[in-house]
Amino acid sequence: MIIRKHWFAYVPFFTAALALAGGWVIVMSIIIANNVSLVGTVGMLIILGSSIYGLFSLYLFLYGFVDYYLDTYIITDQRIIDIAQNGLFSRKVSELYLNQIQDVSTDVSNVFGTMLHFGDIIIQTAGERTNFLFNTIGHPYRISKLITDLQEKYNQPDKGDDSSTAKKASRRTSGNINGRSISNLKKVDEIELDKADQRLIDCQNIENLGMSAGQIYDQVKTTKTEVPPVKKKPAVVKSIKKEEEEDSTDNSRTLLEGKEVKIK
Amino acid sequence: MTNLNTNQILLIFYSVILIAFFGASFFPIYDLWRFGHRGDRTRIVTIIYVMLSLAVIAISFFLIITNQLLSQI
Repeated sequence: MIIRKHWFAYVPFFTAALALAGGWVIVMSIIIANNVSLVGTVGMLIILGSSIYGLFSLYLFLYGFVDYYLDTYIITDQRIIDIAQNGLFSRKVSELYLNQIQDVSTDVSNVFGTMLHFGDIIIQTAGERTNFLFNTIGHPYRISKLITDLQEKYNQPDKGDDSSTAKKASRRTSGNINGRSISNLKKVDEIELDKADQRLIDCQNIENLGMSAGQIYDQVKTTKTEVPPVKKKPAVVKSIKKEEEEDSTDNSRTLLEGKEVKIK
Repeated sequence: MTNLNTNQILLIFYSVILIAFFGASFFPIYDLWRFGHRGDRTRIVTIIYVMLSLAVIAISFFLIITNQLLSQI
């Protein structure tokens, strides 16, 4: 699910750009109305100055839009990604797994936020990581509830769920195979990432239909149960004790070659 | 070295501003275009922005040429 800032976040930029452009139009109409000569150096100066001023106001309009539109938050059933666009060229991407969330709080601070349904969400994280801030997003209560629902689902292992089985498999194998566990974990994580990417594409398709954040929320909630199982090799089960008895190096080799591991 | 008159200096200054303007707005515009989808507001904003900025530049150059022509009469 892709979340963008509420349109109100773009209003200050848009107003400033509009005010500059309006001022430009007024000054130019005064110049034309007073028959100020545009011939000679003074005229040239007026032409170039006014065009630079006009281009600057357009640039402010673009700056605001880029900052508003490319500043996105992505929520998947595994993690939260914050893409913070700072100006035109700088952006910072942060990721947070759902199990690292400690607290989700919502802040609707002013009258516009209450009337137009936007606010901030502050996600407190475990450890020394900086907190996640979803700034000026629409329907903050719904998004906050969605995050807590996803976190709850993430933390409760489901017996029939392929992802939880894969997670278990990754945890167990990482304990047994020293030095080779990372590659195996990466393999499992790739499967999870594929699923997340697929979910993102689905959400983008929903968004392209022009649906609001609330509708996307409802759509995600309804489609959550309808998501078909991901086509991947089924994680088959094997006893850990047997694995411990077996030669660990041979076991790691089979894992690295992509063969199935059985875990009970 | 050829002596430049005030108008020529102003034109050079304006050209530098224009190059900086295109340089600063090309990549964000490209990024927006790539990030957007057909029919959404990203494409509309990029088209409006490009059209308006080109219109401003075209008008200013038209006025500069007129200025030069009128000053020669």
